[in-house]
Amino acid sequence: MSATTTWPGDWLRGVLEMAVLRVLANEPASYGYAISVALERHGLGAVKGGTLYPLLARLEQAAYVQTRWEAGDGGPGRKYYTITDSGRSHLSSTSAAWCEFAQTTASFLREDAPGIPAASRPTAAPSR
Amino acid sequence: MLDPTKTTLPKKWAFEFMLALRSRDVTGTAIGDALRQAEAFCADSGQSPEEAFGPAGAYADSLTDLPTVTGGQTLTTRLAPSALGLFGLLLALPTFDAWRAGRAVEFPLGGLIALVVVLMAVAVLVLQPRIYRRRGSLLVLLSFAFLAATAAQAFLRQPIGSLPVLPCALAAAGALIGSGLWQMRVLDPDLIVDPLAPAPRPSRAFHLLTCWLMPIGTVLVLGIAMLAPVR
Repeated sequence: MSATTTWPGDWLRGVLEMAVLRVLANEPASYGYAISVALERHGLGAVKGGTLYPLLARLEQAAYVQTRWEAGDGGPGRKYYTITDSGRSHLSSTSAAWCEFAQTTASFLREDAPGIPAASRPTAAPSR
Repeated sequence: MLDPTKTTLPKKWAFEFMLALRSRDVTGTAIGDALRQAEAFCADSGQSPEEAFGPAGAYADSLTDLPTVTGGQTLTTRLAPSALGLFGLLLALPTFDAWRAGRAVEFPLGGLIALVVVLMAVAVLVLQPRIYRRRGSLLVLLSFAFLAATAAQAFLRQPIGSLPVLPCALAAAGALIGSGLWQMRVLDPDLIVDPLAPAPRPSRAFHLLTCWLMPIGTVLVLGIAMLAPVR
């Protein structure tokens, strides 16, 4: 998939929290726009500020991230987010569960998946 | 303090955003934080706030995890001492007139109706804070309350009861002093704080003036009333 792919919003909502924590787990600290760019670069599509910041506020409230403001050097001041130990632990557990769920779903959705009941196939019209 | 007129965001969007958060009792610190973040995102991305965040009110509503003021500092409790002070002011005026004329304090029907209208308008503002975000509705409400109260006082002057001056004066003074003392206990300006600037420290004199605004205003109004002929 290309970095410009637009995924259905419902799918993104399910994984955005983990994806944001993953971005923060890979960086010492990051800020809103940089997180949005990182998500897009990794193929999750463009995440609007209106979607991202309510989630960041939720993560801050849950103590999964710590924040600090830094004055901008010739640009705007920025609020930097750093993942906490609690955030890393949450990311680890939810990521593992998500991967298992995604694997199960992918396996189920394959056309040649074994174990799909034959009743789901279309049946021939009864002869008169 | 964060000056709402000094944001790089469009003023209309920024004002609606702050008003929407304030009407939900979000703290001034959190409002300043959210506003500066929106500014930074728009500056970094080159997007307008409508593109990045959508309508200001809807975006403010989506920020459900921002801290709100504690129970003692909600919009309702902030308005209550002012309402008590307003009651004192409204009672002090006819009491003062009656004392000068050497008669009992009369309560005209129009005054009672005006009081009920004002209380109903205040109740709507307190119970439905979202009305601050609908300018048309707010304008209609305030216009209706003002016109109804003014018309009632102008046309319904027949007295429906009277009381001696002393208990009325004591009640008015009690309400005014009580409102000032209540304000001293609960008033927290909860300014919208710029996260990149030092915390604002409102002066003691400004704080005292705000707390005792109603009693001071009443004294001034009574001073002006002294100039009017005795009725």
